[in-house]
Amino acid sequence: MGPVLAFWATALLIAALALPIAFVLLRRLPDRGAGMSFALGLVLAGYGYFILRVLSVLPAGRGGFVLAVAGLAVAGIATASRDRRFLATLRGSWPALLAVAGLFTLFFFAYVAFRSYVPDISGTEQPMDFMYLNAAITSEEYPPRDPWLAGERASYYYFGYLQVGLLSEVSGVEPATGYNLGLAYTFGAAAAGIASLAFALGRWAMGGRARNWAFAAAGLSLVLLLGIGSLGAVFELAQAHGHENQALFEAMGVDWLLTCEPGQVDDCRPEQVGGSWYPSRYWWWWDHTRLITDTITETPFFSFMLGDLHPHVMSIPLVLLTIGIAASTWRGRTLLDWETHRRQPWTGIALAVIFGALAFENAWDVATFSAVLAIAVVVRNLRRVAPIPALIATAGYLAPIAVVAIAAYLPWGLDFSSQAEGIYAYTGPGTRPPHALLQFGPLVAAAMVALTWGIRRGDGRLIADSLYMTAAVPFVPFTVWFLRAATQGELDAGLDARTLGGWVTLSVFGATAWLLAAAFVASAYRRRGNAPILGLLSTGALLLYGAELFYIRDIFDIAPRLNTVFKLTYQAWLLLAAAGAVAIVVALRGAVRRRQPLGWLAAVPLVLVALGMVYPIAALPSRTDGFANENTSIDGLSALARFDPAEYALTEWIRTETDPSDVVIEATGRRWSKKTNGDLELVEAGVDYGEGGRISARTGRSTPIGWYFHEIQWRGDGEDNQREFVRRQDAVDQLYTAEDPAVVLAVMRDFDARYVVVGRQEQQRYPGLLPDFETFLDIAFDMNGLRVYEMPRYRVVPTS
Amino acid sequence: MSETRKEHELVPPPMPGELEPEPAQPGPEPKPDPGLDPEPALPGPEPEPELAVDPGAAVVDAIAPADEDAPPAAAPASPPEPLFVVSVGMVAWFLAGLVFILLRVGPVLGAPVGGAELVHLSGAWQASIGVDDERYVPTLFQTVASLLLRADDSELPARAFAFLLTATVPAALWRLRPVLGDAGALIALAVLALDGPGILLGSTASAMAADIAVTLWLAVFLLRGWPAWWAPGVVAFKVATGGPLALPLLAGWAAVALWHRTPTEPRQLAAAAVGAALGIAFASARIGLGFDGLVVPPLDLFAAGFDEPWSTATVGDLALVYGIPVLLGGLAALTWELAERAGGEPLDRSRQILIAWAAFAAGWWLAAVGTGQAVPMVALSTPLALLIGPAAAHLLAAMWHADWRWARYLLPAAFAFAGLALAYVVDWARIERVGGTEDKLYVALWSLLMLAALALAGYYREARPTLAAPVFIVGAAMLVLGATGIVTSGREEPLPSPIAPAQARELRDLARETAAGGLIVIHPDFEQDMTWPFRDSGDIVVASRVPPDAAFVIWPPNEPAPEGFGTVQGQWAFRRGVEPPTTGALAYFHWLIDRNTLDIIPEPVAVYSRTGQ
Repeated sequence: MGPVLAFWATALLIAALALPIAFVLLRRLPDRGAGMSFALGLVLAGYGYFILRVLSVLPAGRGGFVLAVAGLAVAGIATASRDRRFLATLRGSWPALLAVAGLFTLFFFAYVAFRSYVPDISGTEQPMDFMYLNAAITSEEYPPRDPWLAGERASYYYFGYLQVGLLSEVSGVEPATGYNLGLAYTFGAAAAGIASLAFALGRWAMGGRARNWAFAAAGLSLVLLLGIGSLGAVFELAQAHGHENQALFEAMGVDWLLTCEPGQVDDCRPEQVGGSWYPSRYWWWWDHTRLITDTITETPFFSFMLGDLHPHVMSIPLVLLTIGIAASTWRGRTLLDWETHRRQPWTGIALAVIFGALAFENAWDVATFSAVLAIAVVVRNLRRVAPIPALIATAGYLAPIAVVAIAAYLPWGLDFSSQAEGIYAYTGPGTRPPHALLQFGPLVAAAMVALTWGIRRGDGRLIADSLYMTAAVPFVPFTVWFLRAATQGELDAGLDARTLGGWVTLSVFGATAWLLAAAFVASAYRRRGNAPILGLLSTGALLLYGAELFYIRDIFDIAPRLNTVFKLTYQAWLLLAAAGAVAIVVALRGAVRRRQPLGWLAAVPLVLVALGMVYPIAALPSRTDGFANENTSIDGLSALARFDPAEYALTEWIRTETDPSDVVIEATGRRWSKKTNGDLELVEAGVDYGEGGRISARTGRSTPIGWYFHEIQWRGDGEDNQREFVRRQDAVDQLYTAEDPAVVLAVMRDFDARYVVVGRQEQQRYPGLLPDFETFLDIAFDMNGLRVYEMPRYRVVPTS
Repeated sequence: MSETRKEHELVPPPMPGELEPEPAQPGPEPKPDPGLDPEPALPGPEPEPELAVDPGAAVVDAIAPADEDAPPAAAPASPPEPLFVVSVGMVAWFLAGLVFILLRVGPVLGAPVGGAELVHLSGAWQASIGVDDERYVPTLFQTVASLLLRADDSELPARAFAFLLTATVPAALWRLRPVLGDAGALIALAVLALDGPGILLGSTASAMAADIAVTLWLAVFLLRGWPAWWAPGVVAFKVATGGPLALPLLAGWAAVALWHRTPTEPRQLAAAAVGAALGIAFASARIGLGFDGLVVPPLDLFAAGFDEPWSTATVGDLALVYGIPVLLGGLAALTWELAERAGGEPLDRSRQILIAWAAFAAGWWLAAVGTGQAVPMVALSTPLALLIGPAAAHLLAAMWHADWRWARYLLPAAFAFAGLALAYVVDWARIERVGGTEDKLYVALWSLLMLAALALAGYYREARPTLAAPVFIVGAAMLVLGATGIVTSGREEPLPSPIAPAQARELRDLARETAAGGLIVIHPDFEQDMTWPFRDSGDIVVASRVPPDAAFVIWPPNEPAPEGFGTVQGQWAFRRGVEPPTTGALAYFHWLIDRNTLDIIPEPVAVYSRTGQ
């Protein structure tokens, strides 16, 4: 429990230190930014650490992280000293501060309790996440190296790992525990952030007297963000209990959930075994994130339940912070132009660090949420001056921020190799409406409900004008899609391939985005407090619409829009969850307090939300095997320690006894055997998602090659890369199968490696092929036959 | 209340932090010093209060500005003033300073080389012979130490240099009297004098040996103003080439300065910037060992403390062993300080700096509580001592004026009851298990009686300050015990640990003698430990396999003896550590009453020589 409390206290401390800065940047929010201060503090301290490490001012190790937090404290005090209202704000914010701290604490410990049943860092891409976390913590040089490609620097957006590393190191928690607590932190910070944002949007939309309704909006936003999943779970649960309606299942596109006919194996579910009330099939909940063909459609709840410490998960608090800043900016009154930076240079710099961090933490987010800020600035400026001057002022305000942001993150950007090859028109069948309903139904319905109060009686002329003004929202993307498809030479194929269902989904998303955009423009024109809700909902719908039209080409040729749908719909989820919750509550309040019959339409999304809660209710016991694990722990390597103590001890020896800059050679993940004629035969080539690079992932020590295809994803699939990565795989395999010690030594010298691991994996991947290392290497570690060999050392040390 | 006591009350002691009114100066106005801090709230380098005898006042309040005690002009002619006036206060200061200095002589001469000193002396030695070594952190002290090692391979000159620097601390405290109050500064000096980890840090030759002196002089300048506009440059150079002890003070000062938006004189700022830049450049040059990127020694040493084994005992262990009086006293002083100001006048800026300093040091201490080092302990005890001083002075004054009618009987009784309870606990500690039910009942009974005696003693508000007496006595006793252990360099003292035993040097002599020109081979596991004891021994081969031309081999004892070599009999070790007494409450109590109960853990080595030699 000690590490959990230390981590929790550190998170609270960093949030507290960032409060003065939150009071300035998020002054317009009712809680003065307290809910966002977790993300704010961690981003600023993390950036300080990163840039000072790059400049060689901060040393490696825990001390550097502690100094970064001390720097945040000084920055916070400096900000408070310049804020004449700081003390008054602090005194007035105590209830909000306590509420936010309590909410964070509740969600943090709730997640810790859940994760303690499934703490292992294994499966999916968790080893990769662990590898980057360890790299961020242990790297002797900065920008950090890529442990899975010895001698190279990381080419990924790893800022989230650095932040979790900072929390772990400052609190003195081991990385394997810090990994899980990082997830718990993100869960808690996301809860605090969205509640803060939804409360603010609710207060602005409903006025100061509707305080309780704003609390309801905050509560509902928590459910929408962190408490619902795919509606497909309803059908999964029904199937598990033997309630199947074939017609309904087929109509909803989940006929693969029907119980298998005798002899049928694929595209069906076997009969439920065991007596559990929840679906017992192994990882059934996974399938519902692959509902839409050739895509991934995660929900935040799924992400947290799965436990991958991925950039798109870690960025949730930061994204909510940027939305909060945009909302606060929108709420302000003065003109924002380049002169603003002369008066408040530190605010601009802080914004540059925060919005630049979007790219560093999850590159997909930077365009979307910078655009949200830009819209907020434009709308604010339009309230002060005419359109053209407003646009000029906006450009004058945003351009310096963009320039500073680019400069601030240049050390990372120079190493980052984006695999985006451009925006292409998606010419596939599109998303079937039932799938869209199952995946996004509650959120899109919530967005549509906003139209019941977003378009008011008496606004007819204004709405008509707004619809005209915002016609670009659906039509420009569609026109661009048309032209792009034509230039791709796929127009005919695209028109043919898209099914009727695909067109219906596209139209619904497009129409929703358009209507919401029109309502937003009308509302903003009237200077109504509900405008930000409509703007955020419109942006969310537009992201769903865009994901049906375009994709960013990367190396996933087989499923070209996989990542685009995944990342854009995830962003849409965040926007729609925050604003959608408020939309529902505002509609309900209209129905209850003002007898607006259309407000009762809010029941529709509420019912869908209730159905969406079936997913977590049914999936959590499945994920934890009925919470049956008696060896609960928050250490991500506890299962390894329990089931394979020698392998665990070997890992810990390398982590604690070797230098962070040492190179360790371990199995690539390829499996070899010896044919009867003595030749070697590659019997298993796949290396990703397996145990290849496991030691490196668990310790942060570099190894010649880890997950081959992931390196391709990060660095591109050019011939040079492929050749180099295969060369490394071959060299490592040669080392483990060499008959001549000279080959082993040559490979070790090639990668400047000091250690060779012969653990469980090496014994399995090179059965009977391992050289007699001990005849020419030193045994540095030995336990139950698992060994670490070390290059013999001989050097003359002068002492006088 | 007696007449005598009333007389004392006529001249109340100055509140800690309050400045005495400036005596009217005859003659022309002195010219303002351009180097003075322009801040009005800071005391500034005002004239030192003169010392005068005030035989009626309590010792702690003996020092008062001369003008208060000066006879009025119209008074009858007084006898001629003596040429030399020795006040009680002066005697107290002299004794405290002497104690402070004398307590550091023991470790200079007798402390084993261990902990951070072992690491840094090894680095300094390597630097002195021109070998690049990561243990060489180029602080100014470390640089001087490496130069001194060129002249003499003993640790003594470097320690003597550290001692000389640390010996200026009483003078720094003297200069802080206007900030802390006379008695406050004196008590702060006494606390610092008895701070065990501080004694060791200031009298041994780690890279941070000058830190206590530098930090306290920095505190003098930050709290009282700079003597000249260029002084910040000199101090910034020293801080930039020093250890991390000054960082919390700088952070605290910066926080307060930023909070108040204190304007800084541009010349001072420029001087500080130039000094810091020169310091960093000096450190980065690494006395000619080669430029290897930017080196900022305070930050590097701050970080190194988290990762390097500078102490067998953790910061938390050391707090239990040496720091309880200072930590609890500091906490109480801070509480008192804030409570005194609650609803009243805001804290003056110097107090704010002290508190912010302590807060940053506490943050460091908390973050490092599980790490093996002593520096965060000293970093925290230094500002806490400065907070304890004024608070303790106030409490002593209150005690002096308190009603002792009942307390004079009840407090000794409480001590007696505590002693009786402790006797049982000590007995349990000796046999390492808790006694039976009857024993427990006795302990509970004596403890309750002790509490009852204390409660009775403090029943009346006027008598309540007397309760401070047992606190002072117990705290002082614990401090004295801790300091004594460090000063006498007890074999089983948890600090310093691990150490290089004298035996390691004997091993070196034996190796040189036995090898007789052949190769001395040491296993890589001992490469770091070998540097200091094997200094000035010619070329040593560090190898993981015994080369054929080896003559003398030092090897891990769990590995087989090399062929052709015979064992050199003896129990050899390059390093030994002491397990801190924090494994349990009984072990701790046992150690409190008997400081020779700790386990000494040697890290043995096997020694072989070529057969036939």
